[in-house]
Formats: sequence, C-alpha cells, structure tokens
Amino acid sequence: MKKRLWQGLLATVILLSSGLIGQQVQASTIQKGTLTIGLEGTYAPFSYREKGKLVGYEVDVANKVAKKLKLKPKFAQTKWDSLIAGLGSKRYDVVFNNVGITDERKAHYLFSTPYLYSKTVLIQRKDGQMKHLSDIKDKKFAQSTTSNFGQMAKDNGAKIVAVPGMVEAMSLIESGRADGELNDKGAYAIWKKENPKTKVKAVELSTAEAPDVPAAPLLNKNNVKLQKQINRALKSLKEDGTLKKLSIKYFKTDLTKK
Amino acid sequence: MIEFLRLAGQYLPELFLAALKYTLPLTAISFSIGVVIATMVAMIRIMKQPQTIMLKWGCNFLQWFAAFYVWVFRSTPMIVQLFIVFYGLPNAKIDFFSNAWISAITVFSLNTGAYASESIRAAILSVDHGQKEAALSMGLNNRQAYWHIILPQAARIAVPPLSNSLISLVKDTSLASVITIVETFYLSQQIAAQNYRILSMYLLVAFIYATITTILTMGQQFLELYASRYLN
Repeated sequence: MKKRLWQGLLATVILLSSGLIGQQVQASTIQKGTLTIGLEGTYAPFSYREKGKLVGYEVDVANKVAKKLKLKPKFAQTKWDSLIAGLGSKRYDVVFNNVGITDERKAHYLFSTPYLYSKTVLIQRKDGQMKHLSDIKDKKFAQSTTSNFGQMAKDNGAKIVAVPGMVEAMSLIESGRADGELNDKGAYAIWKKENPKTKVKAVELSTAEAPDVPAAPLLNKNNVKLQKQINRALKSLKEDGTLKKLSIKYFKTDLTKK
Repeated sequence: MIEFLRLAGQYLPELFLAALKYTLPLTAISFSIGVVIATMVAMIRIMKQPQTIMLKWGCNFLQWFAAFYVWVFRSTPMIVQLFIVFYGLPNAKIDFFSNAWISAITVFSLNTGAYASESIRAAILSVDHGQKEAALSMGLNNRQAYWHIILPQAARIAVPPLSNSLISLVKDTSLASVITIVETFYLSQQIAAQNYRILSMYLLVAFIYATITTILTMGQQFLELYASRYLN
C-alpha cells in the first residue's frame, strides 16, 4: 500500500513539474498560427449568439483581421469583469469587445487603432427625469464596474450597482432596483427592438458631455509586433470599406469615423 | 405560459446538449479524480505511525501535508480558486494550466477531493475496529484487510455524503463560466442576451440542473441498496 502510494505521489510530482518547466516561446500570438480573441458573447450587437453561432460586429471584424494576418481565429468568451484579467494572464492575444481607449488602460495595455466610435445613451424608466449627465448624481446606476460606462457613471456621482453585463442591468432598471445605466447606443437599439413593450427609454447624450468613445482592440503591453500587424489589417479593412459595411450591418449607421 | 413552453421547446435541446458537452464531462472527470485523491488523503490521515525514524518523519510530513491541503481547499471559495489558477498563476510564470478545461478540472477535483476526504475518513473510521482485527487474525495482511474488508464496508457508509459532494459539484460546474468555458449556465445567459427572455431562460437552465441532480439522486438510492446487499 505505502510503496504504491509513494510511487503515485512521485509520478504526480514529476508530471506537474514537467508541465511547469515548459518552454516559453516568444511568438506574437500565444498559439502558433491562431489568433485567440477574447470577448463577452452576451452583448448584442457587438458579440452575441444567434442560431447557435457566435456573431456580432466584433466577431466579424476579428475574423476579417485574423484572415488578413493569415491566422485561424479562435474565440474565448467570458464576462466583462474578467475579460481584461484574462488578457494580462495570456489567455488570449487580443480583446475585441468595444473597449474604450482610456488613459488608465493605456498605462497597462496596448491599443491598436480605433475601429468604432460608439455613442453613449442614458437609459432609464419611462418616468425618468434625467436628461443630462449631471442629472445622474446620487442615482443608482447598474453598470459593470470596470467598463468605461461604469467609470463615466462613477465620475458623475452616481451610486454604482455592480452587474455582470447589459442584460442584468436592464433587468434591474425595469424592476426599479436601479434608476438607470449608461450604455452603448447600438446595444440599446437592439434591446429596444426586441422589447417593444418595455417601460424603459433612452436619452442620447450630446458629444459635448459624453464624447464619442473610440474603441480599439486591446493587447498586452509587450506585444508591439501583433499591434503593428493588427493596425495594418484594420487600416486596409477601413480603406476597402469593410468596416463601414459591417457597422451598417450591425448598427444601421457608420460608426467607424470620428 | 404558452410563450414559456414555446421557449422551452426551442431552447431545451440546446441547453441539454451543452449539459452533455460541458456540465456532465466536467463533473464526471473531476469527481473521479476527486474521489481517488480523497481516498488517498483519508488513508494518509488515518495511517498508523511506522516505527523507523525516517519513515516516521515522512509519514508525519505526509499527514501534515494532507491536512494542509484539506484546509486550503475548504477555507477559500471555489470562485477564488478558479481565478487564482486560471488568471492569477500565469502572472507568476506558472502556465501549466493555460487551458481553461485543465484549470477547471484541477480546481474542481482538488476541491471535491478535500471535501470528500472528510466523508471517506469518517466512513473508514466508522467501520468497527473488530473487523480489522478479525481480518488480520484470519491471516490477511494490512493491505488486504483494507481492500477486502474495511473499504467495502466504508463505501456503504460513504455513499450518502459522497452523493452530496457529487450533486454539489454538478451545480458548481456553472462557475466554469468565469474562466471562459461557455457551459450550460453561460449559454442560457447568452440566449437571454439575444432574446431578452431573462426569467424564462434562467428557469429553463434551473430545470436542466434539477433534472441532472434528480437522476443522480435516483442513482444514489440504487447504490445504497446495492452497497447494503449483504446486510439484513
């Protein structure tokens, strides 16, 4: 019994350590020949499921970019709050998830060139009185805490109710457990279309108070090589009108220009 | 209600497929590994002290390590363990668990192993000491006594608590969604993000888990009967 046990333990230790001493290859992607892309998959029209397939603006753009780089696209899906953590831990090469360019993120990560300028809307119940960003002070806002919308709500004095994603936030607003949320105009438009009977409305914020947030693919700090490649790919996709076409397909308007 | 039934007809097959592809394999693999670990840990913690001094130290260390392992996994939330293994360790250059499945199975099986080791330890200790003495006096050696006499009796006692662990694990696998595995629950969230029928989708996914655990409970009843076949 005891001898067997020792052998078993020894085997386990050897197995574990052989895994740990694995080679660290310095390639521009974590998996040779594959571009691994992190996104939510629960955020229409950016990335969501339709007829059992992952679709959305981000998915299409990422697929096109991977094709330009002659890499096979592979998608990893997780909630927003752990999405950026997974990038730092090298779980994927790049995040395509309407990530707004902010100074804090620039300090820790690399951004490729912007491919989307999304408009912010203030979502609230039909009887809501909020018209401007200044009106949200001391109101309860359902936001993902680490998102740019969440940051914007916090900066303007709202009390944050932490939620995993947009669907949960909408549910809190409809049921009166939160007063409102800031989110993307395109995402709200889709939600509204699916819920015509909703008790919710949205006010579009002027660019003066909520400037269009440029969103760009997010990469790890040291991955300049891949950043350059993605920049080139996005540039050519912009020039040949592919980005515009995809934006109109998912947002009904061209959001790819400032 | 009619709307709900329509949604059920539309999405239950998909959700069941996801359960077959993710929930059940994650549970089955993790639980199998977990029970093996648990049995080893339980034996180590019950083990008698050998006489030779070197072996004594080794045994002491093993017992301390087993107790430490149980303490680690029982004293922290499963979701924290998942985050440490999948998102945390790579920052310390430990990238052995780079695959989400490996991370999930590692955490689930070690976690189950820690909890189940206590169930198994209790089960082994509850077998009357006279059984072992009788076995030894019949000329069986220590290992045979355990394998043929004590463990079969302990297994019977361990069925209910282990079934508990198994059923808990089925439901805990939904946590795998935080480490990029689109398992049954995350799939229902994705469908909800597409059709916005939030309550219905959550109810459907709850129904899926309830179905699995109900089947497992029936299995437990059968196992209990089977394990007690030499009694009464």
